[in-house]
Amino acid sequence: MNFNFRLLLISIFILLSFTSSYSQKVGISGYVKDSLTGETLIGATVAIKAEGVGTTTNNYGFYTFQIEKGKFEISVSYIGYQARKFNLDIISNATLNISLMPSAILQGEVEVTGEKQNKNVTKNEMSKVELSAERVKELPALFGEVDVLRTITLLPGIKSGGEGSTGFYVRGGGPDQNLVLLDEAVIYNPSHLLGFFSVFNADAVKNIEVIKGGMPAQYGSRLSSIVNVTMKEGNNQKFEVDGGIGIISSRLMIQGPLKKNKSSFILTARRTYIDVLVQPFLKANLKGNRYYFYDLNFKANYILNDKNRIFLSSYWGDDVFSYKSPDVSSIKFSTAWGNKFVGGRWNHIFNNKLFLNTSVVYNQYELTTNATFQQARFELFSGLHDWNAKMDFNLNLHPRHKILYGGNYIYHTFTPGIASFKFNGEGNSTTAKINSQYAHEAALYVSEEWDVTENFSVQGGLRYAYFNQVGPYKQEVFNELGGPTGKFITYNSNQSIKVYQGLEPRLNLRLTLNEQSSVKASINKVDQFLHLATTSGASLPSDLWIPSSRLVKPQIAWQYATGYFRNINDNMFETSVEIYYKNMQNQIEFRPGAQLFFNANLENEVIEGKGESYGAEFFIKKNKGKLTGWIGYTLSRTTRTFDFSTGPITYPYRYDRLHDLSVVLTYQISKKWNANFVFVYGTGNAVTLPFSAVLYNLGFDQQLQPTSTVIDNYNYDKVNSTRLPAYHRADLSFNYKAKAGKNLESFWNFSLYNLYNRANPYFIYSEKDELANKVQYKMVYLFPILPSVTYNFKF
Amino acid sequence: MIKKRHILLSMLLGAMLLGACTKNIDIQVPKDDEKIVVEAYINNLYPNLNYVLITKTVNYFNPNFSLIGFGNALVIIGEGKIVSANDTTWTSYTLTPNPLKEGIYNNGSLLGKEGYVYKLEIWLNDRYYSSYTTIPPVVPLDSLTREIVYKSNTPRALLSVHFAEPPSLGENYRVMLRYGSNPLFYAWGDVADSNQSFFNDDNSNGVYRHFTYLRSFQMGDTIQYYLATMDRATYNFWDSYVSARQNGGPFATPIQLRSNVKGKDVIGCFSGYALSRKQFIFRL
Repeated sequence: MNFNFRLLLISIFILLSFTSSYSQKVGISGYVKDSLTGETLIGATVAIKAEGVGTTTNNYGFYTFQIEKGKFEISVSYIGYQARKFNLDIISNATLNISLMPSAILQGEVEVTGEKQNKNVTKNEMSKVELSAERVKELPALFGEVDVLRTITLLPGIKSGGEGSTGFYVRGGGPDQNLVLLDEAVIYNPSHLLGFFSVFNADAVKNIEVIKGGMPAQYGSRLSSIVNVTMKEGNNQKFEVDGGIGIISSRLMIQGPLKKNKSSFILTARRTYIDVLVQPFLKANLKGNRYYFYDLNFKANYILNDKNRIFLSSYWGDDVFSYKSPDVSSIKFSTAWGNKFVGGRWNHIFNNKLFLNTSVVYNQYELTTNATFQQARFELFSGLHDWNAKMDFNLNLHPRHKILYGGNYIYHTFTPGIASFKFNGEGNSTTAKINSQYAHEAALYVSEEWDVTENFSVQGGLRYAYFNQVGPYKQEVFNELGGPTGKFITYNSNQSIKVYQGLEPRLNLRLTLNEQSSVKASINKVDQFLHLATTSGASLPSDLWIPSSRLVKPQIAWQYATGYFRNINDNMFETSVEIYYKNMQNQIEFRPGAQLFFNANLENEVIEGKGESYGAEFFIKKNKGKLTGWIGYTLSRTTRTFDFSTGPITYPYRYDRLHDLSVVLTYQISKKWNANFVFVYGTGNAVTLPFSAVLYNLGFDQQLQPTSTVIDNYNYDKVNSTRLPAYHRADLSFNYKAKAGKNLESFWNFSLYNLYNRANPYFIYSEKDELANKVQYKMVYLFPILPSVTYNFKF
Repeated sequence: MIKKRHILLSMLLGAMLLGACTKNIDIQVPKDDEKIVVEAYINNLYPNLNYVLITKTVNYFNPNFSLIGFGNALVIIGEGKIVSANDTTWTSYTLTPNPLKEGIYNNGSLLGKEGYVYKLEIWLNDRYYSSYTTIPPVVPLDSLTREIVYKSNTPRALLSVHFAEPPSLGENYRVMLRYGSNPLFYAWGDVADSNQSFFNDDNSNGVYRHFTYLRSFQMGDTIQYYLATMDRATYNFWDSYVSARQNGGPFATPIQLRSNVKGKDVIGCFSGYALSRKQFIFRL
């Protein structure tokens, strides 16, 4: 352990010592921004083509590179923006902030311009996709609700959880193996309404980055993917109000300068109102039900000077359900769950070579429940709270060397459950508590991107991951039957309970074959110290995150991927084929039927196993012309191996899909109209069904007929051996840009979800059919063809 | 109690907001090997409810869920008095087939005793099955109370149950009731109606407990209320049984019954109940 840590420090020192050896170069750095709003642009390309050097802006819109003195033409490009070129005579270090003009697709531009030629071929990373919120907004949407997470499931290698679900599964990984970040805050439960909608209000979103493999060293802590959502910063030029009115919710966004060119803010709000709309139509016995969710996003930033900029961001969202008995007023129930965070960020430019981002974030996920039943009162709380600090340095030493290094630290507090009960007439309430757990999680990383030759580049990195479960903790000891023994192991405050650590090598290689094609390969290892306690395919508010501990080991994955990337016809078509293999150790399942919520013995319900996933992903994207879009196809297999007490068995993972196809097309009909089409197809999910039944808890009536209960009997030798019907669906939408008023811009989105009215399985159940004298499986499907309309405005 | 609430909530949410549709589908599942099913009880109050029922699993697609009992087994229950940690004295009771229904075995002189351990042994078609259970100390019911509520101007009564949970750790409970004009049927299946529930003192040991039933009763109803304490293995089986029984909907997961009967290809539980009982008649 000590050796590993020392090795890491030495490596960082050696890399930093390179700084002096390239001192004869000059540095060019700055921000790339939207010319109308002042928003920084993430992933914009800044290149000096003649020299064969270039870079992209980082997550904060900042770029920097080193070059010999001289005269150069610098080109700057970003998708959806007009590219720009500058002729510069570079004689010393210089700051060059660049503004790009949006090409305004909805104003009738036929071509999406500005994407750097062959960017997907020449960039080092593989298995990484970026989406703009504007692109997401155009696609057909369920109930007209634009959804970031649902859109990323249209990309190859990322599978949807099923009908209506925002849950996603990346290259055979589980739902807890995706790190979902909103402005660097971890969002532990990124969905509303049991997974039907995500917490991301597209109005507030600037950029979505999805990394499903070849994970850079600055990311870690989840095995399968990083979904990095960046909020807009706010227009620092003028005040602007945007909004949308949909059939189940409305949205409003206000943004503007606090001080022009210096500071801006953005505030967005979204709330569903289906509870209000359906009230008049509910039957009397359902009128006491109410449900809604809301999101609030806020962000402000201030440019202190050329070298310093600070940000404040926050998200506040909840799902709220309540019930009040229409008959007995003293019977009430309410529950609320949601994520919240507040974070501060400081961007500092040391010089033309070195950039620093420092973030401090507090985030939480909480579930609270209150119930009143006549004289009885019941309250329940569970939650997870994090304090997170991180520093990321970008160091550009040489045109061919870019170094990233930094670290982060998180203090986790897990509160699995506190329940209190009070009966009228009694003084104090009775409280039951599952003891809280605490942990330190930290990481240090260093990564270098090295263009070894014009055609060959290496991005190598090393991440050191550390996890320490600490006290105070009073761990109850249970016997082999799960009964309490009355014994406890007590740990004092900050006393170490269990330490896990690991070195995670990361390697990306790129060999450019010619201007239009390249071959890439990546290897990476990731350790994951947090685990989601869930047995369901859906996202439940009561799902708990649990830490690695003495009894629960960290999950570990190695992923190997290689791919061929080729652009055709002057970048009109981008194509790629990626092949991957992922090996996952210490995967977690829970004993069949285990109680996951409010269980002090949860750690003993864990079964450890392993997983394996491999597949090929095919992708073709059309960038230019009236018709744009992409087709993604994945051929894959995913298995898990667990011992459910009858010996280890290998079985298909629930979301193992041999075939997964997505087609996303946009056709620009005219300056005012465009049409969007989505088609998805996926092999049916693997499910475990009972093969026999047990008649139990028997009694006999006066005719001596049994009054038994029929219990499904599952055979765990045959887990997930049955397939649900295949999932397929087509959606269509039209966007119409209405005639703009003096200060008003607006567009309408008309969506048809499930165009050909396919009945896709949400879940299945069996029913005894007395007349047909057989047991019949029935499939519940949720959404027939669903039209929706959303009005969006901006002034 | 807590664990099901959120699942029910989730289902309620889904049902409220989404107009789901249903259609028949044909699914092919492999045939499973038959397993023996053992349902055995020993309690301290009712000798006629101490019986062993031996059946087998039925094909899932069997159109007739008829009871297929085995009447050719040898069934013995041993009653063990624990003298010391290493010394238990045993008395054996042979159970005989009950003419009421094939597969049922009982012995009218067998009545469970608090603090005793019981061993079930079955010989069936060259196979041997066994199980142990205990009858823990009885936890007495303190009182039953009622509260009047009005539904459509008709008075109904809510039942609350009160008892002192002992300070010792490790009690596991099942509550059952019989009400209304139901005739006395045979066996536990009738006693345990849908209001049965299972709980333990893992998270709230030694506190005075109150339960209020969600359902309301008619005036004039007579309630027979039972509180059973049981050992952990019995509790685990019934906990899994309730989970399996309530398992359904979009969040359903495969549930495995946690049997305490040992042997090859067998499912079931030998349940030892320490019963206390109270009666309550609802009056205005």
